[in-house]
Amino acid sequence: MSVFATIVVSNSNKVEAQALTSLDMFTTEFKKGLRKYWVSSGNFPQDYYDALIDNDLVYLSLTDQNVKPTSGLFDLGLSKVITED
Amino acid sequence: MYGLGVNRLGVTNAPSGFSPLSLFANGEQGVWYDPSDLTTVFQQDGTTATIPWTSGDILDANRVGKLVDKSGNGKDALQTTLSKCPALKYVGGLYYLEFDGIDDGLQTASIDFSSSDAMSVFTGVRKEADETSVVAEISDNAGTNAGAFRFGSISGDKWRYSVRVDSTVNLNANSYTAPQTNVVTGLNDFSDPVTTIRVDGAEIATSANSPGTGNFGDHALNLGARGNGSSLHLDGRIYSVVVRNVLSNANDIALTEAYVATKTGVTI
Repeated sequence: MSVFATIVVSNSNKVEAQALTSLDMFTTEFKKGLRKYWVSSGNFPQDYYDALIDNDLVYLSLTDQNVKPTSGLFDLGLSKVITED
Repeated sequence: MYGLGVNRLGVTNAPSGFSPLSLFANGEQGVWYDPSDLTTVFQQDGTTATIPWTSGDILDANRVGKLVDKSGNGKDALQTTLSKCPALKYVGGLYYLEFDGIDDGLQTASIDFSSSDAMSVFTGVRKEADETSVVAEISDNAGTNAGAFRFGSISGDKWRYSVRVDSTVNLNANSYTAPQTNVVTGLNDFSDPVTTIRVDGAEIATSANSPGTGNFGDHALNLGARGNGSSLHLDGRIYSVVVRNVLSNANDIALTEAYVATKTGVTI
């Protein structure tokens, strides 16, 4: 059982969000103005999704499957940070 | 002149009877991924065949956690984190993997490419954004690791094929503004030296610059992002991928590009 969503957590909540889910999640940085956010998008195991909601760690969540996640985030003023090492 | 002797071919279909499997008949190292072969596409749990997404809810059954390598080399591409699995889609008679540009990516186990200093990378790909991304890359960073290549897009309107031993040779194909669907081929031989990028059956750029001396390395192959979905995420689609650890000859290039074109819906 899983839930499709694009979930954004604030920089201050990243560590706790990863502790409740996986270190492989919330590894993609977005920014809005000077603020830094971390995003995971796709199918979340139900227990991960519930834990994030129950612990009030979600800055915003997009669940409309008809909107491309990157477009939805862009419309909300969030832009992807691309770092080429 | 370092061209490979293959120009625009004027073909729209792969010749009947051609299979990329023949490219590996002599034990060539490499991979062949074909999302249109649903017997090779599995969910993240690795056990259940994936159902193509056409409309409605995006379910686990649409998510790809394993793409079986059809080359015979056994290098399946995997993703064990559910949210990082790309989606299998079926639109307009074509199957493809859709990478969300946020966290999706697949990775193989290490592939020992060290027996050769040459590579041929054939891809059917679409980019939705003009930004730096990985379509296919060996190692976690082909910009710093020896014996590696990266094919992907860069900011602006470019496809880029890069190879590296001691230094990096970058070859760009310009004027491909997103959204853009192409058959893109990267070819190189370190010792010749020659590096070439081709788009839709035509040679776009070639270089005789040397990236150094040596062979390719023993590296994992990443698809749709760098480092198992850690960065440089592709916002786009992968229709077909063939990677061979040799410099393909003109006939093999023509046949493979024509095959990839049919899988991608591109006329070359």
